[in-house]
Amino acid sequence: MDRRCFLGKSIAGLLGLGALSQAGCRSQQTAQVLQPGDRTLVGSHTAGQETYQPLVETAVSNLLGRHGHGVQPAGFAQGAPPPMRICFVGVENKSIEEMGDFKEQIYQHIDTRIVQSQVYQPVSRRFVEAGLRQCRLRPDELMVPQNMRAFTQVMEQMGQPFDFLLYATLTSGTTHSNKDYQRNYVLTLEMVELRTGGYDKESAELDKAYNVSAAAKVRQFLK
Amino acid sequence: MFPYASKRVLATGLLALVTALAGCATHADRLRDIRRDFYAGNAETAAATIDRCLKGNPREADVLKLDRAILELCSGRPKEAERLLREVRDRFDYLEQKSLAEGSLMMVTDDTYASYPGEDYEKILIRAFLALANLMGDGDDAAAYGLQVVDTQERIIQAGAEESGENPKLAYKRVALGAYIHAALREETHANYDDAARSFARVVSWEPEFPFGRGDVQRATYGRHSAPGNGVLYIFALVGRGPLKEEAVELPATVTALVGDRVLSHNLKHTLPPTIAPIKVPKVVVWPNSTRGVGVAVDGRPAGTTAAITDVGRLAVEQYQAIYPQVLLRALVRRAAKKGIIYGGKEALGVQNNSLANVALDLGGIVWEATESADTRCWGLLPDQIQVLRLELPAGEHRIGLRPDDRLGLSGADYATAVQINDGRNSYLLANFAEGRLIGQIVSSRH
Repeated sequence: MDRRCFLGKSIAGLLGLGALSQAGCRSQQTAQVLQPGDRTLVGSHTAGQETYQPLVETAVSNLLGRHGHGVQPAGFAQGAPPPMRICFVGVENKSIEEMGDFKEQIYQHIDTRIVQSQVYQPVSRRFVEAGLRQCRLRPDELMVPQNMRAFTQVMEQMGQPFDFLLYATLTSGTTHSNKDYQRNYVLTLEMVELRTGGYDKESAELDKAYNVSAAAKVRQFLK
Repeated sequence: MFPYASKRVLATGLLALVTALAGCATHADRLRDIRRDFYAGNAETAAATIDRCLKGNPREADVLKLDRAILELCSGRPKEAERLLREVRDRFDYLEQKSLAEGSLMMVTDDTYASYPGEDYEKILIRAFLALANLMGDGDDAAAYGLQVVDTQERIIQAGAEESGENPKLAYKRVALGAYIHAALREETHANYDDAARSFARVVSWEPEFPFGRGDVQRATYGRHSAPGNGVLYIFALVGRGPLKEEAVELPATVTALVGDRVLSHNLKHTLPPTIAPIKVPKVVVWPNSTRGVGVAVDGRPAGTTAAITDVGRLAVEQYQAIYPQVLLRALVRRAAKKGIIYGGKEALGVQNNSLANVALDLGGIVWEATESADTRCWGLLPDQIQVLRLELPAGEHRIGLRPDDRLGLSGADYATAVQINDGRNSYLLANFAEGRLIGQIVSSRH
């Protein structure tokens, strides 16, 4: 190949490269409704629906299963126990990850499951927020006796007395192995009895491996 | 090959084609008029100019709609502003995909002939302004828009990773406004202080010079939204003239291209059109901002001065600098493509190096290259800074006075409005100040 021919072909190659860099066609985004059993996406960098949904399902089911036959608040004497009146304060995120728009969804999932179970008689969140706002209390300040008295008083004034406070807490623990890492997510539901301060807990956990290195990806593919 | 007459016709045709593809007045020219009217306080005239430009320049429609949205927001029509911003946000998302047809057209013309997908900072700021517009309206979606600001910038940065593993977009400065609005809204619920503390912590890490950031983190971590009987007023101030793009000549690249095509012309069978026309690229230009902050008075008493939470000008310059090598590379590839087409034409026509047709084609190539314009489309009515001040005030109606302070310590005119503060709730005010003057009106939240 002579020099001129080589240079000519080089220019043609450069042009082709330029065109290729712009290759592609625009199309409108599409979507479909996923049916039960359809494969859902798995968060590649952080937890997603694949993590939170089983955590909520397991933790709430465990709690409801435990209390299905009723819990007797302190001082209760005899007869069939009435449904426990619980005030679900909120979901605390103490994990390493941002929950973004999942936090509200987790609250609503837990709240809905609890309402539907009829094991408990929950207080509407709107009352809880109004009570906290009226007392200017943070959820983590409720354990101070004076604050608790003020809060229960306000809730009773609104016609929403309760026996238990319910907190949901998400935590995480990360194990690193070179580039790859594995994260353990735990959702804990904690019920604190108002009068005695006694508490009950249920939790659910899930491990998730994040594959960063090529070897980890291959191992996952071969499974 | 071709008879001589046909060669002349073909050469003339090619010349006519490149002349027909010539560029004309740029977006920067049109934007100059819009900005002049807007910053002079003539919002209605600026709106009329935008509407006129919208009719005649469909390829600039998206950026003109963004300018229109700022006008609507500052004129007290946040719903209309939100509608326009949403429309452009969705369109920019669509235009993120590459198009072979537009890519090819760009290679033979210039970037102005393709749809404008928005700069990264514009895509992020659209979400930030959506949050602001929604706060001034019903406020229902403001938290979602705030999260979108955070999410979009992370997505853009992740997508910037190259095959080599390098990611120029990691140098991007983050927009803290979205996290700030999210934090303010979560704090207002009185039940999600952990969310608020996390978002305020993000604000501090992304905008360490924001003077109120550490106090916000402290309050969200250990304190409370407001004392009983009080509410909170957030004053957002859009301050100064924002960045814009102007056409600039990339002289070193032009000289390099000229040397390169001369060397190739000497060695190839046919000559290449010499790079006489300068290579033009857009450059982000920032205007000096004379307004330091906006002094706020409550019921006649000074209450504080707004501070910058997002430096739009700096953000635009830094983000554009990170991607500038790609802009320049695109301009160089386009030049190479045009020279290649002319070369191919000579080869196909069998043009001799010392013939008239060769001269005509080289001249055509020079004219073709000279008709290139830099793509100066940009969101032209952005402020230089977005500033904010948080005030805790007793519930009830208050008269809020706003007064822009310049960097020399001189105060501008006073502007005032009445605001209703509700117990345990947030209220919001938004005002646009450029060079000591209020543009449009002071907008207050309606929820």
